[in-house]
Amino acid sequence: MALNSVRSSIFARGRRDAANSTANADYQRGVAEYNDGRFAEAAASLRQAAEQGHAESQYILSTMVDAGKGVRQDDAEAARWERLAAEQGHVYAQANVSFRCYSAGDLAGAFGWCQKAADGELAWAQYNLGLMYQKGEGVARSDADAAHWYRLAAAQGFAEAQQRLGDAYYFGQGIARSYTQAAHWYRRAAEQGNARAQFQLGHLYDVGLGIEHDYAQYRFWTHKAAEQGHEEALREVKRRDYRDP
Amino acid sequence: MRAEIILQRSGDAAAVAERRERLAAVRAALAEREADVAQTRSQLKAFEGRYLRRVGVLYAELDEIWARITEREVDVYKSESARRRAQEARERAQETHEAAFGAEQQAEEFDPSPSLKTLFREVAKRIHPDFASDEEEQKHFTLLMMRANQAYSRGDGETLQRLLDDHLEVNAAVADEGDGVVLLRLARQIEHAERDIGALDGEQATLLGSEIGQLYADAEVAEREGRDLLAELAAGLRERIADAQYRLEFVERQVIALGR
Repeated sequence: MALNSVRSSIFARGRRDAANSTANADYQRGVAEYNDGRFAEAAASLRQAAEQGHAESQYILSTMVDAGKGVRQDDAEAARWERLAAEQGHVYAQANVSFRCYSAGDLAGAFGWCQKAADGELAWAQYNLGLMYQKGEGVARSDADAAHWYRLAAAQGFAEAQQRLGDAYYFGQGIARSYTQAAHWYRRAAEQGNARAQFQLGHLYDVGLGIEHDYAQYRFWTHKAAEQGHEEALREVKRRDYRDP
Repeated sequence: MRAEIILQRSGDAAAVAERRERLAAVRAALAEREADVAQTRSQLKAFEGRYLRRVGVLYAELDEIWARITEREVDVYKSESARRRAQEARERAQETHEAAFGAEQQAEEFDPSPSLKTLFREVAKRIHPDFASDEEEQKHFTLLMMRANQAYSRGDGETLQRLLDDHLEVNAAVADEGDGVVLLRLARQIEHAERDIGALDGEQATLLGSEIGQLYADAEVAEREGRDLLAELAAGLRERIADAQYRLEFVERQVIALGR
């Protein structure tokens, strides 16, 4: 009996993968129409594929219905297609379902779907899962788990996660404190234009923590952060410019 | 008075003839239905074998690589989430392996219980075609015997028990072989055949509606479009396996770099 249900699931998997073949004719036509800017036609084609269970079509259609692109805007319908795609393991749809749950105040649901999308290697979801662990939203607070998910997203080049991982190393939250590691991750985020990471990197150059003290670098990164309106950086720049024009 | 009795009897005889005809028709329909279901069953069984050999084994391979990736990631990240992921991936890989490779073992292990053997003997000695009283009955017994054989080899005690119950019910209290008894027996036989048709319809619907049944239907549709669904699935999986393999090597390099 147990073997039967396991077997049934391996057949279901094949069916799902087969239904999601990129060879689906309606899907291909829908994508071509979308790229031509013929959104109403694209929505009709994608709807046909979506009704056949094509997850990618369900996802694209959900975003079109959500934005009212080529079709009438309809939250409930967008949510329905989004969830169908999510249930088939479409990671972007899972992330959107998670966001929809979060907006509606359903933190447990938001966490569960975010977990699925994060397991599916989606950097945005890995980062958000880290945030939920850090704040204890929909799950018991855990700095160690937060750091774990920030790291996975950071390794994929997600700037906010790199900055958060830098913070985790800087404060020793969930992982052993390391200014060298903090500097490394702040730098990667700073190079992508993350203001908080730029300010923090400047600060590390200023005090010489984890990296050699370097006044020019300190000024450079602090100015970069200030240009983006980072408040502490702005104050710092004002204070410094007054003394050191 | 006498004429009335004769009329009455001839009325019974007509009813018997009419019911016999009806029984023959219902049994013919039943035999056809049985052949349909048997065909569906064997088609799906064959398709299942093809699917597991060509696609199922690739799922098993993919899940195995993912289990290894997540296990290596535990060495890199050492967090509770990483451990949980690795455990889940390992369980999934085991399940897929069982599903993909368990089929052959199951086919070899036909070992009927003693009670099923006894039940089969009880049925067989009552419906054996050699014991039929006329040609019509012999034909019917042959069909019943085939059904019993199939049920026995599937280990389906329920069907065997039903065959036995039907036989006992039909042949109960037949000391007096008057037309009334014959009519009653025919009515029961028609009822049984109709019930069996209903059960077969149900089974057919279940077979076609099952995951493998629907996958088979999808494959048929694809074939009419000149596509080979199993080959497409296998090709897609081989790509995913190659990606996963690359990823595993990447994680292994990370582990070595960290000296863990």
